[in-house]
Amino acid sequence: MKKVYKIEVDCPNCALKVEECIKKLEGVLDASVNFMALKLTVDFCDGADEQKVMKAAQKAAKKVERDCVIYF
Amino acid sequence: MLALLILAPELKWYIELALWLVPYLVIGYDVLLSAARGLIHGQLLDENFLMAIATVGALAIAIWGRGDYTEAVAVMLFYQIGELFQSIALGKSRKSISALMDIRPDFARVERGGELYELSPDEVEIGEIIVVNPGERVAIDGVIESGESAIDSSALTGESMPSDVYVGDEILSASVNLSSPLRIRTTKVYGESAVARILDLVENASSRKSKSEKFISKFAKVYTPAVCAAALLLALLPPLVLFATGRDANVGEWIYRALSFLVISCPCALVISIPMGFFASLGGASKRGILVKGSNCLETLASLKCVATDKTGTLTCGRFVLREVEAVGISRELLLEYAAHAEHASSHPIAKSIVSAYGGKIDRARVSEIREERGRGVVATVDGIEVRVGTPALVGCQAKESDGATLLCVSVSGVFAGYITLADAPKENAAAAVSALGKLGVRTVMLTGDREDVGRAVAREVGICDVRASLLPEDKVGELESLMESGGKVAFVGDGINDAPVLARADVGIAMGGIGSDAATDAADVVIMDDDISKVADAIKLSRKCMRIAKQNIVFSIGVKLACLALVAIGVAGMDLAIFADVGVLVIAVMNSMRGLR
Repeated sequence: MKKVYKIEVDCPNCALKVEECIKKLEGVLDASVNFMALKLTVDFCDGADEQKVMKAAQKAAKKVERDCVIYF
Repeated sequence: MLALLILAPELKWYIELALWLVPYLVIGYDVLLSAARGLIHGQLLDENFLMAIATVGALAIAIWGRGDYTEAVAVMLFYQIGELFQSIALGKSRKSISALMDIRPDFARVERGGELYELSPDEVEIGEIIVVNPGERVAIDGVIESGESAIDSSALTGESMPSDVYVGDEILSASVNLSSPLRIRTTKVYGESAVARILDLVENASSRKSKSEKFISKFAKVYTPAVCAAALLLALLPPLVLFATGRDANVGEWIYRALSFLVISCPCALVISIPMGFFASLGGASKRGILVKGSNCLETLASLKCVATDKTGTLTCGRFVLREVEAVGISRELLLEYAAHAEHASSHPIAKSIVSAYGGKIDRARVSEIREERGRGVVATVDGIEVRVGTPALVGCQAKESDGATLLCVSVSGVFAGYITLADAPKENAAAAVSALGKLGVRTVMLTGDREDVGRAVAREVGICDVRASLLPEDKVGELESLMESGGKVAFVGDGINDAPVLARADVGIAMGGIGSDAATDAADVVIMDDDISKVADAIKLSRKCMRIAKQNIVFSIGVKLACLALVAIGVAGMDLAIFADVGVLVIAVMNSMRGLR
C-alpha cells in the first residue's frame, strides 16, 4: 500500500536523512521524500498499522530536524 | 559596541571576547541550539552541529592566540545570510514550478433543482450540469449543454491559441472558459477527469528518481563523513609530523584549516540542485503539454537512439479521406450512394469515411439486410438490390494498383460497379517531426499493422526509411524487442489505446493525445496531451537539457568544493572561502537548475 503525505522539512540534506530513517522503520517497504514538492511517499508492508508506522516516522524525523512535521 | 572594540584594542581579552560574543550569539543562537539538539540525538554530522564546531573552534583559537575574534562572527553571519538566500531561492523556485501545476479547481458550480451550488468537484456526479463562467477553469470533463465560447486549453496541450466550442462539443477539465458562460453536462467524475489525471501524474513524477539523483544520495552519504575524517587528519597529522621533525608544529593554524573543512562538509548544494533540475524540467515539459511520469523517464528520453512509431493516428491523421472514385457502368454519385448506404451501420473508420464522403442523407429504410464480413467488407441489400463493398475477393473482381491507398471494390446486384480508393493522409508536421528527430541523432522506424505498400507510401512522404508492416499487435512487441536488442534505448510512440502492450514494453512509451484514457496513462511513461507528433522531438530536447543541467551542477558543485578543500588545506584560503563553497555554490546551482523550466 502506497500513501503520500505532506511533509515540512527545511534542508535538502535533512530530507535525505529523514528518508533514510523512515526506510529503516518496521512496516515500511520503501519511502521517498520529494524535497521540491514537500511530499513523503511511504510504501507500507502488508498488514502494517499506518498510524503506528507514521507516528514512528514522525518521531524519527524530529530527531533529524526539530522542525520537521509530517501531516498524517 | 563595535566602535568600542575597534577604538579600544587594549581591552582585556576576556572583555573583548565577551563583547564579541554578543553579536555572535545574536546571529547564531539558533544554529547553536540545533547543534546542541543534534548532539543529544547523536546527529554529529548535522549541518548546524558542524557549523557550531567550526565557529566555536575559531573563537577558541582567537582566545588562545590572542587573535582575531571577527572571523567566527563573520563566518556565522555569512552562513546565516547564505541560508536566507537559500530559502528565498528555494521558495521562489517552488512557487514558480508549482504555479505551472496550479490547475486544481477549487469548486464546481452545480445546477441542482434550478439553483446553483458551489461544491467541491468530488461531490459532483456524472450527468449533472455545471456552470462555468468566463475566466473560470472547467472542473470536470463533460459535453456542452448550452452556450458557446472560446476556451484556452493551454494547460492540457501547451497550445495557447484559444479555440471555439459549441453545443454538443466535448470539453476537458483544466481548460479555461474565456468569453461567455457555459453549461456543461458532466461525463466523468472529478477523479477520472483530465485535470485530476494530470495532477496525479505530475505530482507523483519526481518520486520516481533518476540515476543521477540516486548517485547524489549515495555521494551525500559518504561526502560528509569523508570530509570530517579529512578534517580530523588535517588537525592531527601535520602538527605531529612537524613536531616529530623538530619544526614548529603551529597547532592553531592546522586546527583552523580543519575547522574550515567542516564548513565545506555539507553536501546541500548537490542534494538540492539535482532533484530540483529534474523537478523544474518536469514542470517545463508539462507547460508544453508533455507529461513525463518520472525523473528516470527524462533520463531515458535523453539517451534515446531510436523511436518506433505507430502509423495510423500517430503519423497520419487517422481519418480516411476519399482519394478517387472510379465508377464502371453507373454514375460516380450513384456508386457512392450505394456504398454509403451499405456501410452506414458499420463503425469501421473506412465505413465512416465513405459515409462522410457521400455527404448526402442516409435513408435507413432503403437498407434491409446488412452482413459484415470481418476483414473483407460489407454485403447489404439497398433498395432490394445486393450491394457488396470490400476487398476484390469479396466482390469477385480484379485488384488494381492503388499506390499505397486503401482499395475498395463495389458490385451492385452481382455486377462489378467500380473502385473507391481512400487514403489516410500524414499529419502536416509529421515530416518535420521525423527530420527533427533525425537532427537529434534519433532514428525513426515505423511499426504498422497495415499493408506493406500502404505503410511505405506514408513512410516515403514523412521521410522514414525503415518500415515494418503487416504486424499484429503482438508482432509489434517482437519487432520492438529486436530494435531494443540492436543497441540503444528505444521509445515507442502510439495512441495508447491499441498499443498498450508495446507502450509498456518500450524503454520509453510515449502516448499521444490520450489523457482521457486509462490505458494510455497507465502504460505510457510520457503522455503528449494533444496529438502533435513534433512534441516527441521537443521532449527529447528538454530531457537532454535537463541532463546537461544535472551534469553541470554535479561537476560544478563537486569541483568547487574539492578546489576549496585543496586551497584551505594548503592555507591559501580561509573560512570565508569555505563559506562560499557551502552556500554560494548552492545558490548558483539552484539558479542553474531553474533553467529547466524554460
